[in-house]
Amino acid sequence: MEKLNLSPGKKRVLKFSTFLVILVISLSPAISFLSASYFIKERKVSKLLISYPEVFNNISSPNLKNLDIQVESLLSSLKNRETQLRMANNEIKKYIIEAYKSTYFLRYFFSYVSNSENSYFLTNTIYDGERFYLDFYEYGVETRISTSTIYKDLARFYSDVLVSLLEERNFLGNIKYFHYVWEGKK
Amino acid sequence: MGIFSYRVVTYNLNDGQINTTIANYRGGKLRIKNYYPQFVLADPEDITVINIPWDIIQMTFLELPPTKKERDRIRAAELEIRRIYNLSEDLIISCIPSAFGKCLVFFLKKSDFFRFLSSYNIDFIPDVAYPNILAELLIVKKFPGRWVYVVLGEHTSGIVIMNREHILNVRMIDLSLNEINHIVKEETGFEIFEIENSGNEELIGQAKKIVDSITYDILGIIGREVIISINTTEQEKLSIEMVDGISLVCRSSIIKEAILSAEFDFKSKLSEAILTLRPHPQLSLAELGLLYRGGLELGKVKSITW
Repeated sequence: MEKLNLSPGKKRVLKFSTFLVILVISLSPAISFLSASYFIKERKVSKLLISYPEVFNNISSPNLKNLDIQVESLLSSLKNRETQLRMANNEIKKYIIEAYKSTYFLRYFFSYVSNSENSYFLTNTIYDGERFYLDFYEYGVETRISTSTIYKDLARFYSDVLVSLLEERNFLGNIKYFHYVWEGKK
Repeated sequence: MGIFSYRVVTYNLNDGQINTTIANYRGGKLRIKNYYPQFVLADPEDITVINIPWDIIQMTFLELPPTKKERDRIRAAELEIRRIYNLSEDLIISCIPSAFGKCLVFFLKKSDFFRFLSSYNIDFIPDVAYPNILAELLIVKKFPGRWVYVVLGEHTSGIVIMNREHILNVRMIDLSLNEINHIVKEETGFEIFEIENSGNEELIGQAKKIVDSITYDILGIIGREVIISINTTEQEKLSIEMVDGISLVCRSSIIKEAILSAEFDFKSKLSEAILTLRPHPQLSLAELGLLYRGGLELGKVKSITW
C-alpha cells in the first residue's frame, strides 16, 4: 500500500545552486590539501633561504634546476676570491715589511745614538734599495757603540751586515772620535 | 538546500480549498515547518504530494504474471485494462500486491488527472498522488486477520476491508466530518475541533450532547455501508462473522466516543484505530498520511513532529 503512486511523476531535478554547493564541497578537500602543501613548501623554502644567506644572496637566477651547478660555481668563485685576497694580503704584508726594512737601519741608528750621551755626526748615508751604507763619526771619551748588539739587531732584517770601526783618533783632550761604517744588504 | 535535508510539501485538495503543509525530512524524521490554508509554491527540488479524489480513480483486481521490473508489470496491467474496459486514452496506472496472488490495480485517465490539477490551478506535476481514504489508512496500524477500517474523513469517508496488509475492498460512503461539524457549529458557534482543543468543559458537554443526538443516524449509515462492503467483496466470500474486527479511524475524539459508546449491532467488533504516528491537533489525518507517503519517497519515516 505504501508503494502506490497515481502520479505520472516528474523528473527529480537539482537546483543549480545546490549543484554549485555540492561541487564546492567536493572540491574543498582537494583545494585545502593543495594550499596546505603549498604553504608548507613555501615555509620550508623560506627557512632554507634564511639559514644560508651567503649562498642565496649570490645566486643570480631563480632557476632552481641547476642549483647544484650554481652552488659549485659560487663556491669556486669564492675560493678564487679567497686566494686572491690572501695573495693580496701577502703582497701588502711584504710591501709593508719591505718599506719598514728600507728605513729601519736609519731609524735604528737614530734611536741608538739618541740613547747615548756621545755626539754623533752622520757624514754619509747611501741606500740604493738593496744595500745601505752608513758613515758616521762618534765623539766621546769612549765608544758607546756595541758592535755585537748592533750586529745582532741589524742582522734581524739585513744580511751581510758589517759594523766596522774604521778609525779611532784623539780629538780634543781626552775626547776621541771614532769613525764607524755600517753596511748591510736587504 | 537539498543536500542533507529534503523538503516534503503536501497539498490537501478538497472542495476548492488547498491546504499546504511543508516539512523537513532529515534522517528518517519529518519535522513540520509550516501549515498554510492556501496554496504555497514549492521548490523544484521538493517532494510534492497531492491527494486524489475517488471519483476519477478506478480500481480492479487483476492476475498479472510475476515480473522483475515494475515497468513490465504496469505495461501488462495497462494492456489488460485496455482490453477489459475498452479504453484508448492515456492512463496512469499503479499496482499494489493483493491477496491470493492477484494485484490490485488503480488507474485513472491522464486527462482527468490534469483536469483535476488545473481545477485547483496547479500547473506542475507532483511527485506523488495518493487516493483519499488510503492516505488516512497509511498511518493506521493494520491488524492481522480480516479487518474492516471505517475511515471518517473531513471531506470524504470510506470503508476499506483488508486482510493483513492486502486491500480486499474499498467503498466510499456519503458521510463526512464536515457535515457533523456544520451541525455543531450551528448550535454552538464553534467548530468541533476548536471545541476539543479548547478544553472548555461546558462547550465540550454541549458538543457531546449534539453529537449524541445524531449518533444513531451516523451508526445507521456506517452499519449499512459496512454490510454492503462486506457483501460486495469479490476476492473473498466474506460475512460479518468472518470479520475479526472493525476499526474506527476518526480525528474527532467526541465523535469517536459517541460512536464507540452507542449500542448497535456489531458493537462487540468495533474498536478505535491505533495510529502509528502521533496526531497533531492542527493537521488532519489525511495530511499526516500524505506527509508520511512523501517521506517514504526519501527513505524510512520514523516520526513526524511539529
